[in-house]
Amino acid sequence: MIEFKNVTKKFESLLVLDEINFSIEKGSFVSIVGPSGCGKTTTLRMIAGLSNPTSGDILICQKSPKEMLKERSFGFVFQDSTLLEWRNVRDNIALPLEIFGKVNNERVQKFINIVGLNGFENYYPNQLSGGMQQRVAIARALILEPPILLMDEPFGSLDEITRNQMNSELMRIWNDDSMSSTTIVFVTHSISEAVFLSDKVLVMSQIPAKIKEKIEINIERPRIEEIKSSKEYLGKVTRLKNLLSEDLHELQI
Amino acid sequence: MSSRFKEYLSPFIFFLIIFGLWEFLAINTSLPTFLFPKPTGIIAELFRRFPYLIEHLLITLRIALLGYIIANVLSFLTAIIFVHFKKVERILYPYIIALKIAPILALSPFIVLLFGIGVVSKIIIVIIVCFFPFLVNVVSGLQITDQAKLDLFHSLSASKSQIFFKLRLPNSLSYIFPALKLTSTLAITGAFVGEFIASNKGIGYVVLIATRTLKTETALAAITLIVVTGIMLFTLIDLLEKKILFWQKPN
Repeated sequence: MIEFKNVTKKFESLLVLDEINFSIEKGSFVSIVGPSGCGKTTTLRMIAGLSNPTSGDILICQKSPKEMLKERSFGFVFQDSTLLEWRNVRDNIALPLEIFGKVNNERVQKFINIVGLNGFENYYPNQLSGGMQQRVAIARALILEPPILLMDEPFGSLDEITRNQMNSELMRIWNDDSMSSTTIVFVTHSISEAVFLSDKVLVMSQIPAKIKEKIEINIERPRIEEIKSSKEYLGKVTRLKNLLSEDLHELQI
Repeated sequence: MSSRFKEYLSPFIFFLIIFGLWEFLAINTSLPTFLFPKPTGIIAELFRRFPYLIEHLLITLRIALLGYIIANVLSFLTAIIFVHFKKVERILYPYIIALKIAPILALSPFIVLLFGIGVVSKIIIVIIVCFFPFLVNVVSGLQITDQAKLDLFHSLSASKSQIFFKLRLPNSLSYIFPALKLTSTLAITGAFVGEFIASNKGIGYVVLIATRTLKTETALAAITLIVVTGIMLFTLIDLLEKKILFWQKPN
């Protein structure tokens, strides 16, 4: 569904992405991990057509990202919830509908329920905890029911307990009938998070970044907390840790 | 209500101490009244000549408010142009900064020569004083520095006007209000300075004549009045800010 063919990205003369190739299947959950500043966010922004590759091709359902953007195919969740402080929970979630020009209160309420925020409709962002703010951001990203959900370290600023909770929540939401065919691309720093959530993990190297490894995670779904003590899970986590620490060693030398 | 009361109590006590000390010194020194007047004398003068002072205060206030409104509207429109047309900003910005750096006291005589001794020259002085600080604040408010927020709107393929009304404008409010407060004080100072340069009415004129004739009490009474007016205007905008920017209040 999402194809990267020899995608290279330069910022001025700095080569950030060096001939990246990968493909993401429809309805799958793919994480991108890698050292800080290796171009993970850039990759995500290029999928959404917010940034153009210097060379190479990106195809999404055989179309260009820009075309897909016009069809409002993307839901975006950022590290900071990027909620509009002057709007309450309901109005923040309704924003994409407003921009699209068709506000539908029932739909807004449905997504408030999906992310478990009923009762908080009239709260303002500064009255919500970090985890709740990200729930609002997720509902806002999902309200147009986009085929592709892009998440840029969405739980990066949350404490570990809340982060684990949100991971399970995300799995629950993704299992909801209305979302079963949604493709999720998820950028993270957390190895355990990537293994817990994904069907496939793309490991990126230091810049100029290449895809170092594509790791399939075949742990059965639905994923629940208990799988974290399974042999498969721990094996994948160790493998990823080793891959990422190679980069660290190179740096230290 | 009691916490409100406490909040104002300590500044009030401080005021009483200063007031008392000043009064004490004025009584116990042999300096003449025109050099070192008593605060009670100033207050007495304020009440004695109240209609006269108010008449001139209103003239100054009218100039200040007119200039204030014109300056802020012009400045806001300029900011919108600057944010959407970077080129215009690059061309005009140096001149606007130059206008700000040129001391208004030195410019004012020319402005009076050009536009006469009447209201117009004073309003122009107020506009010059207010325009720049407001512009700088509004431009920073309208320029969204949070790339993620812009990405959010772009990822929804929002139009320019949607981005303006749903993101830039509400975002700029938290920059606009502090600027409105700042320029409210500047507007009053500006009108006052304009009258000080050349005029035949207004509170600046009152102070000018009073100091020339060594009526220090009258001058200080007039200054007190304009200061209190400025504080009232400032407080009014502050209250408005708290009402409109409700989301900024700590929960």
